[in-house]
Formats: sequence, C-alpha cells, structure tokens
Amino acid sequence: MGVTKEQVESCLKSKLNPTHLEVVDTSGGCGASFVVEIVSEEFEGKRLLERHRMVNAALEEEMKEIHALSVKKAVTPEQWKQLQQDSNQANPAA
Amino acid sequence: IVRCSSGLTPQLKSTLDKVVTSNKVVLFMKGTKDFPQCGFSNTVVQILKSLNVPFETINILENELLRQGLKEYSSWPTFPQLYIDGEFFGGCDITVEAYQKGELQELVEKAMLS
Repeated sequence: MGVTKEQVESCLKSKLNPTHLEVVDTSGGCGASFVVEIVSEEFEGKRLLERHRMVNAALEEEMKEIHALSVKKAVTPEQWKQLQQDSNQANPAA
Repeated sequence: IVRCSSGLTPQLKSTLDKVVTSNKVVLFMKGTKDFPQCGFSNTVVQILKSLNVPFETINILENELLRQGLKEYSSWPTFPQLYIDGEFFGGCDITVEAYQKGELQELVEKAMLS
C-alpha cells in the first residue's frame, strides 16, 4: 500500500492547521514522492529546521512509505503574504 | 522482505558522535561525493563543492544499520543529512534555502574558524 496525495493533505491539514496547503505528487510512477508548500500559524517563532521537523513529525507514519518528500515552503501567514507581494512586484504584467 | 532490527545501539551512537565531531562538515548521503546516487544527495554535494570547503561524505547505501540508526540519531527521516560543526543542519531543502540566502556560507566559514 502506497501513500496518496489525499492522505498527505488530510494528515497535514488535521495536524498543522494550515491556511494554505499545496501537495504535488512528483512520483511519476516510481513510488510516493511529494512536494509540499505549507502556510501555518504554528510555524511562528520556529526556525526552518524546526518547521521541517514539524512537517516530518506530522507525516511520521506516512514517511515509512514515502520515497521522497520535499518541503519547498514552510512559512507563516505573514511571510506568505510578503512572498506573494514580492512575486507580484517581480511580475508587474502578470 | 528483510526487516532490519532498526535502532540506535549505544555503540553506533558513540561512533556517530565521533564522526560528526571529528569533521567540520559531514554529509550522510546516497552514494559518494564523486558518484551520488540520488538527485537530492547530488544537489547538496554540488553546493558544498561550490563553497570550496573540505567535507566528508558517508554512503548510507552501504550499511543498512547505519541508515536506520541515523534516522533516529538525527530525528530526520530521509537522506541526505548534513552535519556542520557537530550539529545536524538539515536535509536537501533546508540546505538549498540556506545556500540561497547566504546563511550556509556564513555558517560554514564560522565552523572552519572554530
């Protein structure tokens, strides 16, 4: 039994209460492989390593079956807003 | 399926303590620095090479006990695992982000001088 994108999503939703969550399945058939982008209040005041540890811990059971997990972003809602403003400024035409 | 009796034995723990403290920069990875066997491991090797610092790599594919024990030792479920100055720094994503922000260079330079 592999792990599905839906399982990863529902697990992260219930444990980290994200305001934004994007899980992308990048396995291409070779086994469970995901890229995660997550925005949560719970990352407030935590260093990057601690934030990634929180994501890993939330997926502890799933990690046994997950082949590769890439946490592309683990930010607070405040940082997320900033990031989106920056990217809008970088692409004024968009 | 062979189930390995996983776990961090006291011997393995003290060996790992020595390994991560006797080198300033240590990378536990899939493959070797000259022949990485996974894209994530390769990424970290290329970053470390570009920083021009001496670093040790240890191939976890050659030792299943080491591989399982390290996950517990670092409380980190995947590889590669980067250690700087005796301390766990992170996996591939953390290393890439720190490198892009210039934080990795800073930390490695500090480690070299300590």
